[in-house]
Amino acid sequence: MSLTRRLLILTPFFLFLFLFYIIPLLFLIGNVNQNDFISVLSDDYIHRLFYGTLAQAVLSTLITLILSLPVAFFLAKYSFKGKRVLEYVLLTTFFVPGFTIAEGLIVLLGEKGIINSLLSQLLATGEPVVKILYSIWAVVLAHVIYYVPLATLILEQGFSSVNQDLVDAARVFSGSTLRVFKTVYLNFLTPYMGAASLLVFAFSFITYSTPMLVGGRFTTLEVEIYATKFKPVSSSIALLQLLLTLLVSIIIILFREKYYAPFSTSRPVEEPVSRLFSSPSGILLAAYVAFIYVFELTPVAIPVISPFLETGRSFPGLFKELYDFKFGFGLSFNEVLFQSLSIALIVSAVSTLLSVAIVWSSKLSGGILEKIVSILMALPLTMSRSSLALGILLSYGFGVTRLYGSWILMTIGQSAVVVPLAARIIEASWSRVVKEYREAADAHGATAFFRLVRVEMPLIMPAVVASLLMAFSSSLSDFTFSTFFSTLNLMTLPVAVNLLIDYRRLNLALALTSLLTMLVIIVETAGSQFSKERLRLI
Amino acid sequence: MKLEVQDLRKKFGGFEALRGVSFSIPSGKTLALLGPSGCGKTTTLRVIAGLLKPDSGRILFDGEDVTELPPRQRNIGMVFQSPALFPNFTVRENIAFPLEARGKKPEEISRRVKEVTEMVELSGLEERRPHELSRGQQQRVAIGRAIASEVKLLLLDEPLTALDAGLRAEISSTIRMIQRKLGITTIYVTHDQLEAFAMGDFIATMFDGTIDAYADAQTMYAKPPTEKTARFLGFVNRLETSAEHLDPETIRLVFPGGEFKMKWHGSKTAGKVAVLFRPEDASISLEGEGLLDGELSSSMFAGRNTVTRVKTSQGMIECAGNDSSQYQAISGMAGRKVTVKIDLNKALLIETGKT
Repeated sequence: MSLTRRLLILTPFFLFLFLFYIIPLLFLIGNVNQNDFISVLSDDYIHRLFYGTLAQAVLSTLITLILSLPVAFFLAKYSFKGKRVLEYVLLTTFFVPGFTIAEGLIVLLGEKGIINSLLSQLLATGEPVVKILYSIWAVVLAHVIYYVPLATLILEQGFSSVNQDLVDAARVFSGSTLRVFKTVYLNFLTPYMGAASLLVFAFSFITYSTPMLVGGRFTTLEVEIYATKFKPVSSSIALLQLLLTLLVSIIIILFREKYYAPFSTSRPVEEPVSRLFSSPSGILLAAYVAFIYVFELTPVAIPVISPFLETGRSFPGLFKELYDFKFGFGLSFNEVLFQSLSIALIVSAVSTLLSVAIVWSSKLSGGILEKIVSILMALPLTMSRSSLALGILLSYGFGVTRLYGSWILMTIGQSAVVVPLAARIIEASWSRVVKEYREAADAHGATAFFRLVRVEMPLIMPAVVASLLMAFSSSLSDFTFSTFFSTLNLMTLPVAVNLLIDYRRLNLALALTSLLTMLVIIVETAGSQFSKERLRLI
Repeated sequence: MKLEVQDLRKKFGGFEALRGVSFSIPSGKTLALLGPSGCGKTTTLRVIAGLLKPDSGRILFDGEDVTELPPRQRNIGMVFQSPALFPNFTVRENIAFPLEARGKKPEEISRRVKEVTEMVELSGLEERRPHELSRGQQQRVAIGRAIASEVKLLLLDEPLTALDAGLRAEISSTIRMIQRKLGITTIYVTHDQLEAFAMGDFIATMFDGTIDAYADAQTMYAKPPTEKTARFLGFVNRLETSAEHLDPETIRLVFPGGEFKMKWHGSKTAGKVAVLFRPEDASISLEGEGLLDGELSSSMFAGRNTVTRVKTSQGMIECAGNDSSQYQAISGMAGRKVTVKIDLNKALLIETGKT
């Protein structure tokens, strides 16, 4: 096949890249005033923002990694009934919307929150004891809670990859536990520790909803882009953040290509969990794992169950109050619910269709082009979403089209980030369709389209369903594009949560968060039942 | 259909997988392509199928150049090492796949599926899915799918590799029966000599991306055309000696233990020759009756026979001509002087140079 034909086949990918990224980013760059950009680079306030963003990302990464290592070791090393369930329960924290954890922290650590009420009673101070809410520490804590499951899952793969024969050999020849760790474990774990660190750092660097909800006066570059979105300087900050996050994305991709190749172990390392309780260090490890589960699940459970526990009001009553709620500018909650669900359904369908088209075309073009598509589709995963949102606002909101205030703008924004995720789920599943099935189809007279319809699509259908569900839940949870594109007439559920907190209607905010979180958990659980590829995103 | 393959070349990066592969197969015959792993057999097959494009060279079906045609226009059937059955299809749907892909009418598809299912002895299993079948049944479905559409060429890529010994015999006899019945020109790729001789009318040996030797199966077994192929086919022992012509068709070979006369159609002048022979055509004698003196190095019980290694002035010789009842007498005699008896009528002579 000629290069021109292979490039033509990639039309769906080029269209996606051009419409969802190149046009918005060209508008963003076109909107940058050179003097503004130079002054942004030398502005003390921006420097402080950058260092603050960097510091919280580094702190989040280090603490997450340290807390995750023992849990990952436990999950990799010991076998017991219900282990898969336990792993999935831990992952729940990673799948729920970011604002759920932020609200959990508000309920737990607020001045009149659960922890401060308990401590002030216990110490009879009458004053809040823990004062980390609305500071960098609350942001770091939320990130640690959010990313420990991600890091644990990656490190668990690392521990599982350790070849037990090598461990035994090192024990026989050296005997020293430290040397065994250095010569065997560290060698196997390094790529996984690198991968976990880079991802947690990148995700923390582009954090948005967390500093907005629990950062107080501490803010980040992503939030600053939103705060200044209608000022000329916003584009300059966005360009700076875009360049920084692109650099991080490129480092991640280079790392993945060069170092992150999951090993396969020659002998399972798992031992029965009963052995854990035969030594004091084992009991300590079990207690630590139990503590991490409590630490992880409490901030998720609190917003979900607190509306049920509220005294004097039934949950249906609370929901009715929420359903009838009217925001100050006339939009009612049921309209928000309808808009949010409609947008999620559209994003889900559009993203999945686009992803299937992109993956199919990249597989057909093959060779180096397939590799380039795969790399370019990985770039947006850790790219600045606020910069992209601003670019979309400038291009389609007020530029080539005037869609500000339209659900289409919201769909474009959310699809831009969901398509690369959905494409990865579908691509992973497609790659697992044995090459011989494709060759058997070709050898026995199938055209590319006949093969797609009769062989490939039925085989990847579970991943297609999983990506539909993932796209639906991502759209429902999305905070960045929702806040950027919401207007007085168009709003999604996460923005409604934010507004209810602003209105000091914490009970209604919690009721809505509870509903939304349960919905997301159900959708994500269903998705993971359809296809394990959802977890492969990590 | 007559297949001609002309000077196929294929590189993967810096690795030259095919280095000028050429051969032809008469219509309706089977060629067994035999060689060690990584020699380019499967690459050759995939190029012929159209799954890989060669860097250069031509493939002709009855004289028509098909090199540039996509697989679907070549009208071939292929059986892979793993059955590669579509897991979401039933047996019937798998067998019908090539017919549907070629746009055949439903009634023609049902008739042909019924015929093929009977031929591969799968009647009654049509509605089962691949995971509900045994490995042997799965491979039968793969064979059925390969012949469902009336194909010009059947390509089999090590189809028995993953099967146990009993199933191998069963499936290979099915393949042979179908091939003979339908008279389809066939290429059978294998690394197993026994399979190659059982399946092929012709055998081609392949090493390092080139065809080393090509002959009919009997000739290839008895008198392999090249030393490399001979060694691959089990002629692992090599002696160098001098030969002298007694008349145009007879030569005399001189060994330390005596002389040997045999038929010879090679060079008419006397010269050095290499004598290659299989271990089963050599045995040891404790009574000094052999052609070559040596020292017993080791002995091993191998079920049907006893395998010994004898250190001689010409290197180590492996003998498997002593039956297993002699093992007790031979074992524990390492270091003892023995002589090696060789059935030179079954040996291969290669001219190595003049004296």
